[in-house]
Amino acid sequence: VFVIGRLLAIALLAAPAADAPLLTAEAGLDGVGRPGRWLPVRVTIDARTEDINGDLVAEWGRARVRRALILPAPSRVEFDLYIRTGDVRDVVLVRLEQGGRETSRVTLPVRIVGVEDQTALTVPAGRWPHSWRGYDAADALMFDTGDAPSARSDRDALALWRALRDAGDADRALPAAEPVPPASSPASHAATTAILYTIAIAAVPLLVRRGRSRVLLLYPAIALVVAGGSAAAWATGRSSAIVVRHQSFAEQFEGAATTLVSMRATAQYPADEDFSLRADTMDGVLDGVSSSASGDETRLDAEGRPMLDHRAGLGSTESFSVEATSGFRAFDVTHDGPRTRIVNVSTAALDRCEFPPAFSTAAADRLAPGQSIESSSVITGPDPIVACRFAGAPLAFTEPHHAVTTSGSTLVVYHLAGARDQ
Amino acid sequence: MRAVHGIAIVLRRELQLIARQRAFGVALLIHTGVMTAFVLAWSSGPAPQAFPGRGFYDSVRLVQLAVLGLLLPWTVARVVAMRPPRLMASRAVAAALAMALLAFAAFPVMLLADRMEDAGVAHALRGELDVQALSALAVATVLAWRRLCHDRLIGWMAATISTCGLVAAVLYLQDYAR
Repeated sequence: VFVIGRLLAIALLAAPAADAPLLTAEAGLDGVGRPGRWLPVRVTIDARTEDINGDLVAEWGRARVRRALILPAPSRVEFDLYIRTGDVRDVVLVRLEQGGRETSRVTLPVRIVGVEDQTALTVPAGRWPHSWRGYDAADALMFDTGDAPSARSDRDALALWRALRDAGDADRALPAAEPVPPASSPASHAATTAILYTIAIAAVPLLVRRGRSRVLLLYPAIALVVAGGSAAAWATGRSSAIVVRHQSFAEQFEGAATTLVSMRATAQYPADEDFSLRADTMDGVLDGVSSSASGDETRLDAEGRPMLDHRAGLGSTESFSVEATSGFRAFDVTHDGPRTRIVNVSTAALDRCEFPPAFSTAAADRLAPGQSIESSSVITGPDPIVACRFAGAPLAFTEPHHAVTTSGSTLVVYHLAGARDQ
Repeated sequence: MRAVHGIAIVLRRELQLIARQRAFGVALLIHTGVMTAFVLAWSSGPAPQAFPGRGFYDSVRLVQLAVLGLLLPWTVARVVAMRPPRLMASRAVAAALAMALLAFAAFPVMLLADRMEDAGVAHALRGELDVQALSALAVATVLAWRRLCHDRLIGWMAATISTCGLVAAVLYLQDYAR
């Protein structure tokens, strides 16, 4: 085993109090960071005598990732944060904030490697990254031990990174994306209430009798309708769902169990409240496009799910993007000699499918759930893909107080093992 | 006690007279309908429109003040009788109450505009104070001009110009103070 060097930085706050939580961290696979590539930061927190309820923040250049932390004492937790920036620095700052106050801090050195440099990095024994992003800085890997990762998620992470590297990453040829469906206007959220109220207030003078004794009822009737209208205006949208409109890519790779999802989306909020939209994945990032207050900050909830906090107006829309891995699978591919069989294992009908030339030219452009298609010869080409579209999302969203509905379509691409692999 | 009872009787009668006027119902519909149309039209794009340097709610409130600046003097001129002059105080109070309700009628629509901007309910209530002040001002200017000018049409026009002028001046000074 070749160990070129391992820069493992573990630092503590200078002379921490006896009851202060112990914060330790290490940054980078083999201590290395590269511009524009993900940098793993493995954090360990030991709540010795006092419960922890705060945020853990990691900063690298202008990028910042913030994870909510709820930890009862005495207990210990270890997790990975991933941070990416083009504005790299040779240190990563990790700090624990409780009640808006910094209670612990560690500064971790990072060895910066250029984008164009070919980099072989060493994975320390037993320190497997839990996400493919943990390997992102490496062009090649070496291992301290010959053992494979024991946890399935760690094996999946390594397999996905290998598949991504083999597929050529940025050079992957993908069909053109469609635009995100347009959001409805804020007026559409208020129109029913406003129009019904206007009809009601117009009807009051007509309905109140013009008789001598009852004409005075006009005033309390107007007051009553205004009060009811105000209550309706206040309540409008408060129990409605957030609408996420998206255009998604879901990429499956031969040999990898997890699917790489990238999504451009808008969230339309039904009320003027604080919202906390969460993507249903433990490995991903959710970036708000229009929210400038938090700068380059990405957030994770206490379980590690990416989230987007937003103070919204009634019917307002926010754009965001998602990069994540998901357990969603549309295709199952098996090889039988020169033949390749592709099955739609999703619950959605796959439309407008495109297949490599090895499949019959008369191949159906639609695959119903459970339907399969088989190639007539060996698949060739540098990055052969199968691409289909379906109406739906490869990733679900949740919000603690509102339902979330999604609309949009997904382009799902399967990168077949091509001539290069065979 | 007897005086208070007498005022209450006169006030009740004046309120009945105003309620019987078709102009009051028409003004109620115009005010609410125009504000509903503005709020829905200005928020029918991807994001609500606003005047430069102002939020959506404040922009809509400016429109509301302009609408009421034109509508309230006309309504007061139509619904308040001027004779006999000895009942003017009761008429003024009755007209002020009726116009306050008329001005308040668009509050639910304004609350929707306020929520689209996420400006907070307190912001909408503060805006309503301006609207109520305008309704009192409109009643005062119409009645004052009607005493000075016996021609009903000219009195109404003068009251409208005075009301709009005063509102514009107050808004200008508010902006200047900021």
